[in-house]
Amino acid sequence: MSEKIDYKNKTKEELVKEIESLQKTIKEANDEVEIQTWGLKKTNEAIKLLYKELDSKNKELQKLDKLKSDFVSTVSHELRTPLTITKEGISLILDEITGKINDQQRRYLNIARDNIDRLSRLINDLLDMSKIEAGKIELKKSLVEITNFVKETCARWELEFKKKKQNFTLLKPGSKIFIYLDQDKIERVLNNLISNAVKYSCGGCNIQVELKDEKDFVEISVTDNGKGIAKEDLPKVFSKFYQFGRTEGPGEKGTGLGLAITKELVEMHQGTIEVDSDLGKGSKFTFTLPKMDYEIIFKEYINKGIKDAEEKKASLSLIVARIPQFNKIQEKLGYEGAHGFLCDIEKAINASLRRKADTVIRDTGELIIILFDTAKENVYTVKARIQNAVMDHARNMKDDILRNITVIFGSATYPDDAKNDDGLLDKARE
Amino acid sequence: MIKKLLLIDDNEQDKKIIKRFLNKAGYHNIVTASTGEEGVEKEKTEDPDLVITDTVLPGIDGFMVCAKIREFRGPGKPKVIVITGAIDAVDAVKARKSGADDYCAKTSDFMPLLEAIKKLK
Repeated sequence: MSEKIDYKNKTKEELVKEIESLQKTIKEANDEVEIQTWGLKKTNEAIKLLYKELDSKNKELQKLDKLKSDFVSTVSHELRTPLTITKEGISLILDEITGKINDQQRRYLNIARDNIDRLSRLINDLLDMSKIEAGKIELKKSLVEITNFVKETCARWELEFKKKKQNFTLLKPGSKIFIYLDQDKIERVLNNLISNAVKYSCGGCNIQVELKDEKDFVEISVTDNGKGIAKEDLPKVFSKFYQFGRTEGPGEKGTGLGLAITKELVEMHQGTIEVDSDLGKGSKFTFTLPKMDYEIIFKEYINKGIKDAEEKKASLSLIVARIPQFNKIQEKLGYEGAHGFLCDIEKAINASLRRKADTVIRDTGELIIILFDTAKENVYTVKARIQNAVMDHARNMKDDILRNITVIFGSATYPDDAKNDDGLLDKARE
Repeated sequence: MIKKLLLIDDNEQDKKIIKRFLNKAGYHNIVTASTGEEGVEKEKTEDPDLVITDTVLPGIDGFMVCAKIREFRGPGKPKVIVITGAIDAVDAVKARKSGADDYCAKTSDFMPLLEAIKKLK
């Protein structure tokens, strides 16, 4: 279109011809546009249909998935009881309570018991998985000092490492790190990973657990230089019922659910888990747990409590014990000393409480005691009891600063004083 | 009026289901083919009123089948519907340019196909 047309020097016929040719081009372009529009319209219709179909199939799958979970959960429950009874019977015979048995009988009974154990592991895993999938597992979080927690968990594996002649190393920071987590669940995660490392590494192999302190999270890795996992298997490692590199023969057989459960548990803690592995060179499983702000942790916890109380139409009380000169104590005794004192106070308070469900969360210079199901009229008795426990504990301290400590106690009750987390906390801190 | 149909699809399962589905919808005279070449040949010998072809076929594809039929028969008869499990705007245009009358998705209930057939005059 950029070429200039010299109309003056053209005859009428030439111009008509040119117009006709232009009209032809326009018609062709129009046709093309029409076809393209048709194509888009058809595609659009089809995509809408496919989307609808996908949606309904998805819903159907969800329904089936729930049906499966319910089924698994019911069946597992029903299987557990007869299994326990069977195991009990075999154990009685093995322990020769019912009379002497010969070596051959012992051998067969041992095999039977091992397999019953395996079956109950499988059933337990199935039950856990179905609970997780149904969202029925609730985390019971508390503040846990993770350095020591990892150390203690690893220590329980010492015998196993020795048995398989595996070299174990633990790398951890020297400082204490407090993480808000469900101790049982994370212990299970760590145990699962260590157990895999032991299972899939030969004698003489190295197994290393490392705890790293990052800014917003902690990272825990379990590394071994055992069998490793083939590259093509890596994406399926956390899938249900997926077992890789299984060897025939004796040894503890897995259920194929361990890593799937592990992943779910880590993710319930808002953490991540990943695997890095080379066939023949070993594997490294790394998971992270986020460090959460104290206020967020507290609010998460208290809101859970409020929700429960609301459902049960019960009350929930808070007692806050505050040490105003905590900074001074910290200056004098150092972080460790001051924190140690707080931990001791926490223990003293826990010992004075009559019910286990009562929980204490520790902050710098502040202790918050959450009393589930405790009404306003009962809170004062509990508060007095705690006050006595704390003061008794302080009186026995060596340092003057601790002996003469001032602790301010406050309390608030849901729904009497306030109906939300902030309101309760403000009231208790007054 | 559509009486005789030719269905070209290499997936035996799909072919069976579509055939059963069309039977139920009242179309009983259905011949089938599994490759593009076979489809083009059957079109010549069977002379159907409508050809339904999948896009991806072993040998020549559905678009080519369409073009060959139009080359042989000219416009009008038979009608051709291109069906696919992989929807693509470029493919839709290609189908139209090859002389197809309609282009639709292969859903599991095949309703779009039936609607497309009913819309043909």
